[in-house]
Amino acid sequence: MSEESGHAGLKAAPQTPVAVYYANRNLLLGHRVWAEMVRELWSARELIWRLFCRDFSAKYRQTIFGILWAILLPLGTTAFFVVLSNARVINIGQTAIPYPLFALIGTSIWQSFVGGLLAASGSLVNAANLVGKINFPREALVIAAIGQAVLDALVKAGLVVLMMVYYRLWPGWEALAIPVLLVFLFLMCLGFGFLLALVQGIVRDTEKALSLLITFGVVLTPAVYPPPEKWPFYLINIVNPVSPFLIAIRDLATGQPVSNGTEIALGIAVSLLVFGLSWRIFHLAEPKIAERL
Amino acid sequence: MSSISHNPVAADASASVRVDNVSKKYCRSLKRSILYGMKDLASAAIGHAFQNDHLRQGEFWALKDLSFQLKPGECLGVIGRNGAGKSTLLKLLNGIIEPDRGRIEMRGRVGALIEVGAGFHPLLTGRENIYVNGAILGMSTEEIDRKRDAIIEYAGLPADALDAPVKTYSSGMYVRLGFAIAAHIDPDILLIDEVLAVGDAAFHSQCYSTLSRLLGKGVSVVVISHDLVAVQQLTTRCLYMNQGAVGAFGPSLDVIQHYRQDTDAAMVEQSRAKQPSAPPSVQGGRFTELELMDQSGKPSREFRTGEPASMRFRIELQPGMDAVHLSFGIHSPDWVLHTTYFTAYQGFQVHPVEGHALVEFHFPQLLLGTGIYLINVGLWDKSGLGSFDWRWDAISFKVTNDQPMAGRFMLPHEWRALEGRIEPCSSAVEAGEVV
Repeated sequence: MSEESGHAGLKAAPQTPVAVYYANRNLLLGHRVWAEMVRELWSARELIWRLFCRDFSAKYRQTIFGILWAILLPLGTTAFFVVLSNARVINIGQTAIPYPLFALIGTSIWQSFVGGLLAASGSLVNAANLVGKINFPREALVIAAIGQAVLDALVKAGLVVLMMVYYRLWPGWEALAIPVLLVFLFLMCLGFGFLLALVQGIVRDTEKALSLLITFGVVLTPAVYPPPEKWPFYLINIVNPVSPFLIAIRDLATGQPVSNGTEIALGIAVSLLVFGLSWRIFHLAEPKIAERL
Repeated sequence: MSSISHNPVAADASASVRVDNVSKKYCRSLKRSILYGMKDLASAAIGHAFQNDHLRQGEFWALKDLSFQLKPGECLGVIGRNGAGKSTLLKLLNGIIEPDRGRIEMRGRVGALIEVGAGFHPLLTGRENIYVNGAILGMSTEEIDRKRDAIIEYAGLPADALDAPVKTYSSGMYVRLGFAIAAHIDPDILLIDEVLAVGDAAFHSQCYSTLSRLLGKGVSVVVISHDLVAVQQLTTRCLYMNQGAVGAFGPSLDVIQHYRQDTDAAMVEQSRAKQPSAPPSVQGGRFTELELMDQSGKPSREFRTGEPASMRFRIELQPGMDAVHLSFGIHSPDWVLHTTYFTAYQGFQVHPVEGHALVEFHFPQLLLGTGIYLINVGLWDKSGLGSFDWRWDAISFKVTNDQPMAGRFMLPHEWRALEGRIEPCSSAVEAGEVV
């Protein structure tokens, strides 16, 4: 008996697709489930793109500033910290590059990451009607949500480039490593997104917790200040999984030597682990979540 | 209890839908459901099977030990009262939720019309939503490109609507577009949940002709509906679900009749419970006695199709009322009015003697089909516009019949063989294995 995809509706196979459902199916499939997950994700690629386009065009359709919002947010935060720093309300210390640029890169990365988390965590609940009524790979919803964050990051990158031109700062060839780091950063974001989307399907506390993270997270990340070097604040560079990526990307973008090689290696490992594990759990819990939404 | 649930029909290799002893449990309490959800999620994360076999506190079986098979080209109707587990069954068949016990096998591409237009984004235009919804339903972009014009034509929306946001659509337009997309997914198995209830008559007939075309092509269809007439017409077999279990399963006609008996009885109970004992106001006149009688003149509440029946009205009028009108009607518990008679329209009136009258309404043959019926009566002033006494659900009665029949009427009829011949036989209808 062939036991193929759980999403029979998505298979345009020439031979008859057969779907078999029974309790704990995903669990009982054991390691074979990975092949199914990859196949399912591959078959959902067009759906992901559609959902991404849908979210994008709907997101800014009823706004005046449209995509400009992606720029206004980090600009606002940067301006805020520049003012605070100039007025000596907070003591930032010495940065190797002009402070506005320093803060802009930091907040851009942080806000893209948190924006991704926020979008992903609500992706299932916001589509509750869909999830409960139609069988399709729900991963697509989460991935499409992260896609918005990636797009946001790209827009912000454009802003950073403009500001670098203004300061006449040119990065070296090492900057080519930035996209690679971003891939791992967003892979981690997707991993956490999978988990948050699931949890939010059961309890809505994550929404509140995330708004807390957005308020205070920016100061728990070396986004607007240089990475602390003293114990215990040094922990911020390691424990916060965004920090290694943020520090390295900023260094690479502004031609500084990369100072945190070990942390980056660790960060990449964490990113892969979080992604793989979360994806597996998400897939496992899919039918259970559908009935609770 | 039923041969269906405990002896699943021998595995039929050609079946496109196979449901084997499937059960599903739910929890009504939100708090507990959160707790169980967290537990299930946690146990899944560490690789433990969910606890499925026993009920935890607060849980109940929404579906219990359900088994059936469906062949290509067969249409199964699923009927039952609200909360009987019909939608749960469809979600299980579609793989949206997982059974707690048992096994479901679906052979072929599955199309589901559980809620048409689910996934429409209100701000996007109809055209854009065709692509989004199509993708969600499992169509590739290439496939949608190919079918787009057919979908648009099928939906029959006004030309300017396609490029307007769907939030400006009427609910009928919304459903039309949703159904049009779903009708073009070329499924091998189609699951439909009461979506046909929306939309106008033209849309309905379009839906039905689409369904019969699909059935002709060998598509298996499972349809949930409360529209028993439609179910009767579309389906060959029916599953009557009663509190998560099989109430009856077999040829549609028998199962629908079984279901109708159950619901009619319940509805009569209900309407009797809320019936006022006396009319609220007595002005002009009132009924003092209402009686339904058989041919011998004895009060009766049970008739066989074709027997004579009489309704007797005793009325009491206040002084000065020289003429009144009477109305008499028969309806079924689902509030469908089957036949009405009103003296004002029929061109005569009733004149009392000393404020009293006794009137009989007589059916030489009561040609109603099997079922439970209710009588409504009215006492009107001589203009026929103002009512003195008006009683809906005045009397309920039951009609029985030896032959299974659909519909509410048995008209006078006769079969004649003009060529060939007609002869009596023992058992004409292939007896349905109604459980």
